[in-house]
Amino acid sequence: MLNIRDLYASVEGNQILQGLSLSVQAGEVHAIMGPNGSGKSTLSKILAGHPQYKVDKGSIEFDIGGTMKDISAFEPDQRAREGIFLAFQYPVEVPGVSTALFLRAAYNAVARHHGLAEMDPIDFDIFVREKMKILDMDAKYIDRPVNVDFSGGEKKRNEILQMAVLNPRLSILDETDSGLDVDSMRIVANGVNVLRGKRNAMLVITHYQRLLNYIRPDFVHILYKGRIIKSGGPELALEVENRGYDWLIKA
Amino acid sequence: MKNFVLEKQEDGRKTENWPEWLLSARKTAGDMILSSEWPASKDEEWKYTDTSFLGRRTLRIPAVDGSSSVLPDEGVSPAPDTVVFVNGSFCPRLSCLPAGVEFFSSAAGFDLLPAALRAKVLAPLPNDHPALFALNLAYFSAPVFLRLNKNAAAECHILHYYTGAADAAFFPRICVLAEARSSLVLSETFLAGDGGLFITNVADVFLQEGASLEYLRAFVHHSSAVQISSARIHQSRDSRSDLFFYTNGGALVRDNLSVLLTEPGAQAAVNGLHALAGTAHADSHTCVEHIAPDATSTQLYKSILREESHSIFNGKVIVRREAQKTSAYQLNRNLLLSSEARVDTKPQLEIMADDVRCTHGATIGQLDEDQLFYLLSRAIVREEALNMLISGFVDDVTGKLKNPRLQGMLLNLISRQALS
Amino acid sequence: MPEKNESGKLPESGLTGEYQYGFVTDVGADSAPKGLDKDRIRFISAKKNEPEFMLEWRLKAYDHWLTMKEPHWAHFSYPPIDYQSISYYSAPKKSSSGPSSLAEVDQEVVRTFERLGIPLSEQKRLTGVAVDAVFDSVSVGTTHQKELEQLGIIFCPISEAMTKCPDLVRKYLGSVVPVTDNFFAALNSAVFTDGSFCYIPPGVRCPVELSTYFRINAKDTGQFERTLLVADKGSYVSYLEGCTAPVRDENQLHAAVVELIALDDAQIKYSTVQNWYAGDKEGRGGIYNFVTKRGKCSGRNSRISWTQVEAGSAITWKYPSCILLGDNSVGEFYSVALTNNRMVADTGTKMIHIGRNTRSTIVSKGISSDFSSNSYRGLVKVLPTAQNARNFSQCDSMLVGNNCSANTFPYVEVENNSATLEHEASTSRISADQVFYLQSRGMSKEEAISLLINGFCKEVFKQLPLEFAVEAVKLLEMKLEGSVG
Repeated sequence: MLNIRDLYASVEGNQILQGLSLSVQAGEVHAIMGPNGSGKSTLSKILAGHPQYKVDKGSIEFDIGGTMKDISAFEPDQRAREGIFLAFQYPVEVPGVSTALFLRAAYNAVARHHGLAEMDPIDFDIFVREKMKILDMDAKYIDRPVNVDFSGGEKKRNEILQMAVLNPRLSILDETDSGLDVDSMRIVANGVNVLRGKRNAMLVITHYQRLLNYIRPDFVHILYKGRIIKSGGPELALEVENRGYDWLIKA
Repeated sequence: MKNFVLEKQEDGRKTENWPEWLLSARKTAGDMILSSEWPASKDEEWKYTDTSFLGRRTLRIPAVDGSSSVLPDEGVSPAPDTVVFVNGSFCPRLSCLPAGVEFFSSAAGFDLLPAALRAKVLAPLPNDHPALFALNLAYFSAPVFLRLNKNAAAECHILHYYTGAADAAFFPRICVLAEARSSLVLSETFLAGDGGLFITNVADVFLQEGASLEYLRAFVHHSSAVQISSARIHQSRDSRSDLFFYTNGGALVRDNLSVLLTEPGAQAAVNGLHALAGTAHADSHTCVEHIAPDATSTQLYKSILREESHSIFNGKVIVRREAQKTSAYQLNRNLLLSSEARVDTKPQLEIMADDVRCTHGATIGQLDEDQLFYLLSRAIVREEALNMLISGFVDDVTGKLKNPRLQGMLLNLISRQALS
Repeated sequence: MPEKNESGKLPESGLTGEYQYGFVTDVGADSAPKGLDKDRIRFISAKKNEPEFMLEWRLKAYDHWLTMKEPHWAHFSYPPIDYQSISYYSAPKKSSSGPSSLAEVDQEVVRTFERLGIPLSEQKRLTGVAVDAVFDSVSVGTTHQKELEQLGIIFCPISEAMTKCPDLVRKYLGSVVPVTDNFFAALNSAVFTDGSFCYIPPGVRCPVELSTYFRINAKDTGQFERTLLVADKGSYVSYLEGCTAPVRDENQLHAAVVELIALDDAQIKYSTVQNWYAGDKEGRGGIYNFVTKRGKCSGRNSRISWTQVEAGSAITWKYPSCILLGDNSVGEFYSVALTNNRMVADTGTKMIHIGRNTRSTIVSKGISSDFSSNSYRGLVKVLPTAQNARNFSQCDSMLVGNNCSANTFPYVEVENNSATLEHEASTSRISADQVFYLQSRGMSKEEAISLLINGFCKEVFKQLPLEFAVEAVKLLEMKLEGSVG
């Protein structure tokens, strides 16, 4: 579904990714771990198409209608409509724009693209409230401006709510566990697990192993200096938890 | 300022029932105008709004006979609590006088003002030009006077239509006396067509102990119109005002707003929006003066600028020595959507008391790129995302208006402009 | 970073509640008679052995000055200045043309500077700081000349620079502050008597802090010094300026002009600790500090930073400004202004964005106490050419007591829609409760106040060289002593 080949990418003139390759199939959950500054967030931004992040070399191929296409030049909204979803590490506040309006605009944009019926406000309200229950979110958030005056945990839940509404094929969770207490993390992880399925894949980017206790990955990759230096199964994450990153870096 | 011509002589303007104190002030004001110049950019308060071009025009003052035969919207039935003026004249046929309030469409009502308040309506505002203030005093003819008795509740919506009589000058005036614990929902909407109309209006509102006011002022004009406005809210103990100013600009729109928190416990929320396009020019000067302790004020003014428009905000918060425990907040935000647009902002603080909490701020910028990326990453197409962010910027301030009817009126005026 | 001098101490501001620098030095002064006309200007120019172009320049400024009106601001008034009752030239005797070496400097003057904590003699000088000391109208000694010369740095009295490097003076003098700029700048251009000149050649990082110390001594004199600082391509310099004056009942005028020029990739840090005599409790006497300070970032990637601690003068009008002409240039203004007694300070900055990607930062902290008035007045202007300009401004005021006032007048003018500007301001106070809270944790009252002031001003103090920051805190503490209840 996703095929990253020998990717070099930079932000503001600094090359952060330096020859990263990664292949993800439908139904798989991949965890990306690595020390600070290894390029984890750059990977998530470059996949979502942030305008400040530039591909210098290599390719990002994504399955569109059964064929793999290089999406490096796609606009961010185009990628989102094709089913790529980034759960932000630091979700942006958008004052004045209500969460309900925002979610429905997003849902309808994807529905239109796939030739499906758009939802009117009443149907959508029922639809969203269902999703909010899964995440144990108070319905009052729906009328508030997007992420404004949300706590850290509420912002993260709102990200997963958007994921539930858009039902993407590839979800990238960028440090979704950062700033969450254990209870919030369990709720968020539960929401993510409900969305796991045979037709979609996930990239779970995290600094610590603890989230992986709740969202069990099929593969774990260690990112260092912009490339994957080791890949393995879930046991690799546990080893990092016990021994840190140093032994991998030195090896 | 000698460039005004009366179409009929003074006897055509009905002043027979006018209080003596008002007539003598009117005479003094008339003399003052003749010896005054139009304010220009060398005057600090008019640095970014030069009115001297008005001195080169001849402005006609049409006769106002108290009722008008012009009916702009034939067949429209008057909305409740609505007072309509056409070209300065009161239109009873289009109006449905407000209930629960004493209403006057002549200066006779001014005699209901307690003697102590009379001098206050005759003095210019702190941020106003004395001669421009005098202009209204010297020429106003069909004012509105409202009195709410103690504990009364009322609504009043005043509509001023101006229908393109070239170079005509109008001088609307309103004075409101809201007695203790009364509550008033008030709006004044000015709609001017083409022809280079000149409007200079004055509003005085007295909120006595515990009175509350929600007040929308909207100036929606043709690009040739000029409006220079002065509004002043005098607030007594525990009174509350919620003010909203909206304009789409004109050749020149200048609003001077003065809020005087004269007794403890007074609260004011002062909000505004300039939504400008073309060559529109809008200049808001606010002055919130904390005179007594324990009063609270908040201000949020926003501007959204397209094409070659020019927005000016000058917000002053003054905290007098006695006004301890003041809480004052002020923010001016500007969204520049065109490279030809221009913003000048000056949020000022003048503080003489030490135990106060005052903050102010101003921002100028384009749409936020991170917000845009966030919306795009949720599949929303660029144009829609831009529109969402722009209306988000606007809704953030229009949401400050809580009364549903006022909010409906405001949104209607904003969308009408977007369509045109 | 300046190292410590022989006695292990840096220039001290003194910690007694009274103004410590109020002493008068008894040296015979060689003064011009009071008053101002063209002959007086010719006299000054001749005294200084100036080249002919300087005399012409001065006379041009004088002619323009005659056509100008003295500015007045709405927020205060002061008795009119009689420009004919000021002496425009005063020099300690025996050194009337400026001493060429310290041996020629009157020993009384040397001792004066030592009392101020500025040793001029080579054995005692501050090792990390090169000092040019200006006493009334003339420069009395510049230290560290030799080491600087080896690097090609010129640091000398401006009167000396006119003969030493007339081309540089001619090229840059008045290039940032034209003689016609404002009333006091025109007056200064006509009558300035001394000041410092500094030129840093391309690629040179000046290894020591350069410093000028100004002192007004003689009665009825005005001080009109002129500072010109040029940082050539890729160079760096940090410059410090300090000021004191004796206690006198009359007001004295100080109308300086400072011009900074930064060429491509050059960086200038200009720091001021101003403690001119501010008058007594009733507002008698003190210096009128009407100064024009302006820097031009004329080169790409250049940077000019103004840092000031303004704690003296009866009236201060001062707006150190940056003209951001070069692309990617940066202007910064960090200010602490403290007013007590009946002082009036009206200070701030102007940031004029002209080049692309220009950035500016303004951090202003005003502390007012007693019956004083403290205003921030600033302008941020973004011209149509300044694509992607950025400004951040923060103006905080603190009121100590209930008879003072704090005002903020920020002007923001934007003519380019790619600009991003943010302005924030707030007011706060040192409350008796806060002081008590800290005291209850074992701090003395002085420590508590010092801690609170330090906290309030820390963004500015961290811009100063460390020892000067320590001095600045002490200076503010001293001034506020007895004001916090």
